[in-house]
Amino acid sequence: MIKAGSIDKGMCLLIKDEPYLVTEREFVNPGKGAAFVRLKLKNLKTGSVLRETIKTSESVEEADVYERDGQFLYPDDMGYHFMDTETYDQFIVPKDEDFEEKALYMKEGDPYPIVFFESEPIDIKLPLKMVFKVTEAQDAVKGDTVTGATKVIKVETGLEVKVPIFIKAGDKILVNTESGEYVERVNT
Amino acid sequence: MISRRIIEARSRLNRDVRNFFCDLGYLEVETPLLAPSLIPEAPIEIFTAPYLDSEGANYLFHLIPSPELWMKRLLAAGSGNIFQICKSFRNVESPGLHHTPEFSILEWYTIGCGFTEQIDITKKLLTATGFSEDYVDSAVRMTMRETFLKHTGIDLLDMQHCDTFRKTAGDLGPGISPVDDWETVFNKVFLTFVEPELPKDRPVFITHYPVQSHCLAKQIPDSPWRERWELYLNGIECANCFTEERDLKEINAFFEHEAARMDTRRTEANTDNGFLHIFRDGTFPSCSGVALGMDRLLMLLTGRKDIRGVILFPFFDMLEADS
Repeated sequence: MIKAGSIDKGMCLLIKDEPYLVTEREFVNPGKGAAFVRLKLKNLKTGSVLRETIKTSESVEEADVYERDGQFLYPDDMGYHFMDTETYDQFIVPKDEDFEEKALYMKEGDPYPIVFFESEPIDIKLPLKMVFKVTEAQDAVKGDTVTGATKVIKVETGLEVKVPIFIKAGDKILVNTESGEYVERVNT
Repeated sequence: MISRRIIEARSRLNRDVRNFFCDLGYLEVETPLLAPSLIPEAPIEIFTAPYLDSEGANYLFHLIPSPELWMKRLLAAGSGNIFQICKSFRNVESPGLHHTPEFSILEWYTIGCGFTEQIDITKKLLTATGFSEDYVDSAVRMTMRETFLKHTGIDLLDMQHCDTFRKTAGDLGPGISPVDDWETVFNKVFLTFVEPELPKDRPVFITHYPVQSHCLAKQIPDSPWRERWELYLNGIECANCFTEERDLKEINAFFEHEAARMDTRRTEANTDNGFLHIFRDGTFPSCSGVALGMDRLLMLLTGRKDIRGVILFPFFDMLEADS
């Protein structure tokens, strides 16, 4: 058993003997209330979505899962194809809503930790901050000197990011994969 | 990353807030961040800092979780309308997009003003700090009962007994435990099914909170509601308003209620029994107060999704760098 306060995204919980993957986790302290954690969970057997909020001081049971590194090969209609970097076995993480968003951050050829439950891949983990190359960006308009002006650019994975206007195509930028926000320009 | 834009936006927001209240004749006040004792609030975790005197004696001080204990003393002393922008501290906060243990709070009190009139003041403040008039004019007001019914099908008026509420809420989904008290059941259902569904394109004032949600907001006589509202901007809780309780008997009852559930708290703090004195002779003025999260407001004004983006030296970044 663990305290609900240490639940994290990507963790697997046993709720009424069913395995659930935590797909969203947010700490909330309502007005003058106690600390709660608001969860969105995916049933790993049925795929159904469950929402619940519990006190951070309550206890929950973890499901037995393990992680392996998988090199991202390519996506197709069946899902996301990976290769186990140790055994070279290939496997597919089936498509679903959560992964479609994550896929915008996944670079072909890069390894990512993959979570398995009963030999099935159930989740892809992303580093909190990742470097991307800007592939499409409009030049800043001359005379546009407003402090803090931003524009939307595209990176190599197709992800769109709001950045300061000085960012050019070819630049490398650091992006927070949780919020989708620009962090800084990376000098190479 | 230290952003020039954030330095400017924070400076502008502070100036706009000060101009707004000073123009209305409020006095800006400054009160201690260190306090030897606090208003007991069981759900709030506290930071403690020891003071050592030259004789070697050791005194425990706490970092305030809000400036309420001081500002109400000023009101009792006849300060009139007052406001303050200061730091406040909550321990055992978990990292998240909207929380940080050290944060900036704006708190103001208006004499002879009820909680609903504070909605108008707050809307004017939003306009004064840079929100568009169209956005502020689109604000909606709904009671907790209405919005709860709309999103859960549960009428809180029928849920006055904890057993009934627990069972009805349990049918909506798991997460309700047999040991949950009324307020916990209410919070769980509200946070799971109501709060995420609130409109994000306009300011939302949720008014009339259940009396079982214990706080120092005045109860509306012969009703199960308190004179309290919360403001949600972009779905995020940004401000909290009470018509302030002045009845010593009620305030005593609140202190006792909190004392009885302190065992759930991980941190300890001394109780500010002196706070009760200011209500003894019945001269504490009729007033309402609003506490507003300045960092959250700045997030909205600058389009940031993460509270770290508006704080120049974020707490959790320091924690990560240290470990």
